[in-house]
Amino acid sequence: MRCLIRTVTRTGRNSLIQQGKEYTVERITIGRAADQVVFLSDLRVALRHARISRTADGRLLLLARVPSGIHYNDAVVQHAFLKDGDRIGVGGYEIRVVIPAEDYDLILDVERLPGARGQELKAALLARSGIGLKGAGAQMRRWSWALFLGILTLFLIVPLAGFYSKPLQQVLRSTPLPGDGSWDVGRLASGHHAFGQDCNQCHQAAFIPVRDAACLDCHRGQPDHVDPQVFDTAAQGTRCTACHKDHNGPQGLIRPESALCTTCHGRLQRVRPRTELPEVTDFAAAHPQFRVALPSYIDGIGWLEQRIRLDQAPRERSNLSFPHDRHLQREGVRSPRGNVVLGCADCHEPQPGGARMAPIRFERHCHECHKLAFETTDDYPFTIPPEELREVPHGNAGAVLETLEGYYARQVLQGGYPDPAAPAVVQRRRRPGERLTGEEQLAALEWSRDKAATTARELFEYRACAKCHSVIKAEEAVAAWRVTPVRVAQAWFPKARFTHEKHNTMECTRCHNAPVSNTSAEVLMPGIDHCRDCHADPGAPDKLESTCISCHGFHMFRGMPDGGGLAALREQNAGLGPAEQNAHSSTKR
Amino acid sequence: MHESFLVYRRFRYLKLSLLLALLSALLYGLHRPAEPPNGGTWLGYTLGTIGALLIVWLLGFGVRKRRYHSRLGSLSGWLSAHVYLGTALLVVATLHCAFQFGWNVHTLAYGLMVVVILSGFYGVFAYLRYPGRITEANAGLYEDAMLSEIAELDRECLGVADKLGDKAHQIMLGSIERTRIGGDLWQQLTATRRPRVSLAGAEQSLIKLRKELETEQVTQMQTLVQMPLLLRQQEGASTTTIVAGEAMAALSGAKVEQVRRLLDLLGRKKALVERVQQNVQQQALLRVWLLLHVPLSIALLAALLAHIISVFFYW
Repeated sequence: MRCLIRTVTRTGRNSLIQQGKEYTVERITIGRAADQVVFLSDLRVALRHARISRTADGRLLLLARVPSGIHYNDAVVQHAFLKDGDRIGVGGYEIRVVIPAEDYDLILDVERLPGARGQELKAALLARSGIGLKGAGAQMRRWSWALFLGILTLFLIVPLAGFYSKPLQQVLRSTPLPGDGSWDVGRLASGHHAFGQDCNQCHQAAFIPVRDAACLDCHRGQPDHVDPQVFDTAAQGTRCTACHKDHNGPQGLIRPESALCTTCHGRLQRVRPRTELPEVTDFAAAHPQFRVALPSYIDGIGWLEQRIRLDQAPRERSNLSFPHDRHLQREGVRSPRGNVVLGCADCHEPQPGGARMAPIRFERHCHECHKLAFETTDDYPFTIPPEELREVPHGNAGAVLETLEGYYARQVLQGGYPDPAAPAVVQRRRRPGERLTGEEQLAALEWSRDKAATTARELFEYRACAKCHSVIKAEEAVAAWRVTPVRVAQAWFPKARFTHEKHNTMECTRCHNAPVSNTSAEVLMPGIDHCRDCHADPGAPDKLESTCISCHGFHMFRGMPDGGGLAALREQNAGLGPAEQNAHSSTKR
Repeated sequence: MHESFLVYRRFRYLKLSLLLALLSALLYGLHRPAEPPNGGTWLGYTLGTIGALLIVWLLGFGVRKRRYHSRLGSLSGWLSAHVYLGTALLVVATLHCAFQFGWNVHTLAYGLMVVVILSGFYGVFAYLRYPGRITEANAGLYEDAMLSEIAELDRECLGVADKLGDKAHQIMLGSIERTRIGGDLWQQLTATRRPRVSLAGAEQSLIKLRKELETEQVTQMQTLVQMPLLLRQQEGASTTTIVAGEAMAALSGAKVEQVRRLLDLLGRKKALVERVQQNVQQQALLRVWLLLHVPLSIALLAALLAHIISVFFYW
C-alpha cells in the first residue's frame, strides 16, 4: 500500500506548513511507539493505537487496537471503513483521510489540534462533557417563537379565518381542530344548547356586542318593558344583553338579582324626573304599598280599572252586596240541608294551575240558598217542595219579566187563582169548555200584567235581586229594570305574579280577614306588610330570599293593562276626572 | 452591605403587592354583580386590565435585565418588583376569571401564567439556595481550575501508566476517555453516576493489575530465595545472573509502587470529578427553571393576545 503521510502545522490564521513522507507498507500503524508509521507524540495515544489495512475486497479498514476505541467522525468506534474526507481523532491529533485517484492509495493529513499546549487533556475533557446549559439561550428563543406562533395561529388566526370563511368554519366546527369553540367562555343557557356550536347565531359582527336583532331573530314578539307607543323610558334603549348574559351555565340567562331593576327603579327621579312612579331599592325597606286594581262601572262608558294604594282606603265598586261575615258565621247559615258552616273553599276554588281563584258563579255557589222565588214572601223558602217552588231565571232582567207575565197569563187562563184582590173571573174556577166574554178577557189580562209587574217590582226592588244587586229602574218605562253589571276584580295586583298554590300551607285568613268584613266594598287584599312577614331581600337571615323577579317581570305580559291596551285606555280616560285618571294611569310619566 | 432582592428597600414591593392583592380580594368580596362573578363585570374588566398590564410589565424584565446601561432603576429593584408583583398577579388573575375554568384559550392563558409564576417561585428558591451552596462546596476553587486540575491529574496518570507498560496505559486511557462530567440537561440535573462508575472500573482494573504484579513479584522473590540453593548446586552460575534476578525483583516492586501511586491519583481525581459534578448539577438546578419560565412567558403573551382579542371579537 502506497501512502503519503502529511504533517500539517498551522503557522498563522491562514498559513500552514505541510511536510509529506511517502510509505509503502502492508498496513499503516498509528501510535506513540517509535516504530509506528503515523507517530503521534502524545501521552493520550497508546503505543500501538490503531492501524489501517486493506481488506480482501479492496476497502480500507481502520481498526482500533485499544479497548477505549478511536474517534471516527465524532463517534467512538472499534473499527470503520475509510472513505475520502473522514476524520480520525487520536489524542490531540486529527487525521484527515484523502483517497486520491492516482499516485497514492491513501493520503493522511496529520494535524495537532489547536489549543494551548498542555491544555489538550482539559480541552478533551470539556469536549466530552456537557457542562452548563449550553445553547439554552438559542433553545429558549426557538421554543419561545414556536410556542408564540403556535398559540397565536391555533387560537387566534385559525378561528378568525373561520369567521371570515364559512367553508373553513364548517370544517373547523366539524373536526376537533381549534375553531371559535376554543373561545367559548362558559356553558350556554340550556335553551341555547340547540345551536351551541354556531357562535355566529348571536355573535354576528366582529367587535360589536351581541345585538338585540340577533335575539329577536328567534324571540319575535317578546313584549317590551313598557308600551313603547305611550312611554319613552330609559328602559327602551336597554339591550337584551344588559340583563340576559349567556355563558353563565344552563340556568344563567335569567338573573334574579334585584340590582338589574334597582339601577333604574332605585333612582327613578334622576333617570326620569317627571315620573310618578315611586322609587324602589329594597323589598323589605323601600318598596311602596301595593295598589289594587279595582274595576268600576261608569254608566255609558263601561268598566274602568283603577289602581289604588291599599293604605288609601280603597273601596271596591263591584256593584255586588256581599257581607263575608254573615256567610262565615260560626253557627253556620241556613240552607236546604239545614245549618251549614261555610269555609273559604266552599266558594273560592282555585283555577287550574292554582295561581288565581275561579270566578264565583251564582248557580254554583249562591243558588242553593238564595232562591229567586216568587209566589212566596219567604226569603228562604226551604219548606216549599221543589216542584211547587216558582223561580225567575238569574242573569237576565228581561227574562224575569217575561217569566212572570207568562206565569200569570197562564193563571188567568186556567182560572181559580186564589187571590181575594183579583177580579172574580180570575178567582172563579172554570168548567171545561167555558168561554170568557170580551170584558172578562180584558179584565183578566190587565190583572195578569199588573200582577206580573207588582211581583217583578217586589223581586227587583225589595227581595231576590235587590238582596245582592243594585238595580236601576228607568223612569219612563212602566216596568223596566236593569241590574248594574257586576265585576269582582280578577287580578287584584296586575303588575305582580302571585300564585296561591305556593302559599297553600297558610290559612286564608292570615292574609284575607274575611270573617269580620261586613261589606263587599271592603278590599280584603293583604298589604305589603303581610308579605314582609316572610319575604325579604337576599341576605336577610330569617326570611325567604325574594328578589324583584320573584313577583315582577321585566317584560310586559299580556293581560296586564300595559300589555297593549294601555294606549286605548288612555284615550278613554280623557273624559274622566283628573283624580280617576291619575288613579288609573299611575304608571304614566 | 449586600441586600437581597427579597428585602429590597425594606420590602417595598412586597408591601405594594400585598396591597394590590388585598385590594383586589376586598373588591371581589364586596362586588355584587347582577350575574355570576366573571371577567366581564366592571370589576372583571378592571382586574383583567391590571393583570394584562402586569404581564406585559413583567415580560419587560427580560428586556430591562439586558440593558446594562439603563438608568431606569436598579436591576435589584426590578427583580424585587418582578418577583412580588408576579406573585400578586396570581391573585389578580384568579379573581379576574372568578374561578371560572374551561377547556378554552382563556384557561390556557391562565394555566400558562400559573406555570410561569410557579417556575418563577422555583427560581427564587434556587437563587436563595444554590449560589451559597456552590460557593461553599467549591472551597474557593472555580470550576475552571478544578477542570484544569483534573486534566493535570490525567496527565500525571498517563505519565505514570506509560512507565508501567502498555496495559496500564490503556487502562488509564480508557478511563480518561470515559470520564464525562455533566452531559445533557437531564444528566446534569440528576448528576448521573457514569464518571464515577468509569473511574471505579479503572480502579478495579488497576487493583487487578497490582495483584498480578504482586504475584509476579512473589514468584520472582521465591526464585531469588531458591537461587542460592541452585547456585550451590550449580557451580558456575554467574554473578550477572544473580544481579539481574535481584534487579528484576526490585523493578517489579517499583511497579507495584507505581500502581499504588496511580490508584492514589485516581482517588484524587475521583473526588475532584465528584465535586465538579455536584457543581455542575447545582449550576443546572440554579438555571433550569429559566428553560420553562422564559418560553412559557412568551407563550403566555400569545395566549393573552388571543384571549383579549377573542373576548372582544365575540363581545
